[in-house]
Amino acid sequence: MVAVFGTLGFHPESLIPTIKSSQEVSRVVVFISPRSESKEAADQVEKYCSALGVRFDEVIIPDAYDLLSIAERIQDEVLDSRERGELAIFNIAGGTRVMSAAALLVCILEGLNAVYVHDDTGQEIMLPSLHMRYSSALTEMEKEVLMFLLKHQGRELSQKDIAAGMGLHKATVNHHVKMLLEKGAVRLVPKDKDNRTKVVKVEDSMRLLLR
Amino acid sequence: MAMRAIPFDRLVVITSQDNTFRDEYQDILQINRISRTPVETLMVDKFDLMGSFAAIVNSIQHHKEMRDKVAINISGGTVLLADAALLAAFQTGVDAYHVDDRVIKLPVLRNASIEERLSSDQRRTLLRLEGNTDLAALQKEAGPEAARTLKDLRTLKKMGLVQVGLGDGVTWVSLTRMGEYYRKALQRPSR
Repeated sequence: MVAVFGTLGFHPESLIPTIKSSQEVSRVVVFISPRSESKEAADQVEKYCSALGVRFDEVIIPDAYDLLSIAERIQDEVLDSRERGELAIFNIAGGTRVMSAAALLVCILEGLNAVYVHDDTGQEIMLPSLHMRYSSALTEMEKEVLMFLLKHQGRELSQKDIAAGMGLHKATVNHHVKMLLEKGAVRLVPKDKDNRTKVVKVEDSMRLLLR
Repeated sequence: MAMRAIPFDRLVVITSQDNTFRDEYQDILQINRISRTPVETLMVDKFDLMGSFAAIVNSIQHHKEMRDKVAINISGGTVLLADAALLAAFQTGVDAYHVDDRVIKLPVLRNASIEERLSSDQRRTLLRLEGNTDLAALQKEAGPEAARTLKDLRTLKKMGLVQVGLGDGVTWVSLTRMGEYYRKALQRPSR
């Protein structure tokens, strides 16, 4: 079973070549903005799928310019598809620049095949990606520390606070924070009212690595 | 907004030839001339995603070689250019930002390039594959390392880099398109 995913703008032609070239497509999922032109393009893709006897699902992205919320919505669908046991291919050629970037980001993070269709030639270009989750570059303990930090994002947490909060030895936390610093997953910043103490900060986007 | 949000002391503008006549590009040059910040322009073909990607990767590697700390802003340009920049950031493990009304740092990790995600044995196995390779011959050549080679091939297949086929009673192993791409990347001299 193959699921073709695609961000779609106003032109169905950006997605059709991928449905055509993929074998055993059982489902097509399009991500569109609420604009009527996108809906019309999606309707045309739906007609095409219906003629092929392929299931068609449409996901409306309420804000086509909010990168992280789009990436999260796309990731939900991709993870759901993985649970269904589908092989997924993602066409990132359509939609806004932000929608396309969000889709590519999810492809990199989830290890999906991503393709781009050339505007003029209609040629499909496969983009480099590994079939492995990007988060596999982190250890389980590193993920747990990140999760703890994201859960308490509003607070200023030193390594000592993290150790106390997670019930771990301070040296253990120091080691994992050091590794996360080397990997660029967290950063140390001076505490607001005490410059001598450093607190560990994590970017909101790291959430995408931990789902 | 990105120029205010991301500190820098040297700027590389990635654009296509036709955009150099636009006011936005001239404004960037003007602003940085006033602040005496060196600006370099990387010309790419805005219709060639993989070509743009390769040019950006090369430029990043060149600046890394000069011991610059590199950050990339993916929020400008065409869809294709933004995608090429995003791919290049993950490929090279440099900080990447998307800037609109807020600054979003993307979840790029520094140790997750292809070179770093494959073990040295897996890299060696990938480099040994050219065209259709007879699996039995490959194992024989590996000698006492045959079991490990087989294990590496399984992992590379799972990653989508290697495919296995049968023909004339022989099991063939070959690289996928993605495998070919990464093989070339591994062959490039590391900077």
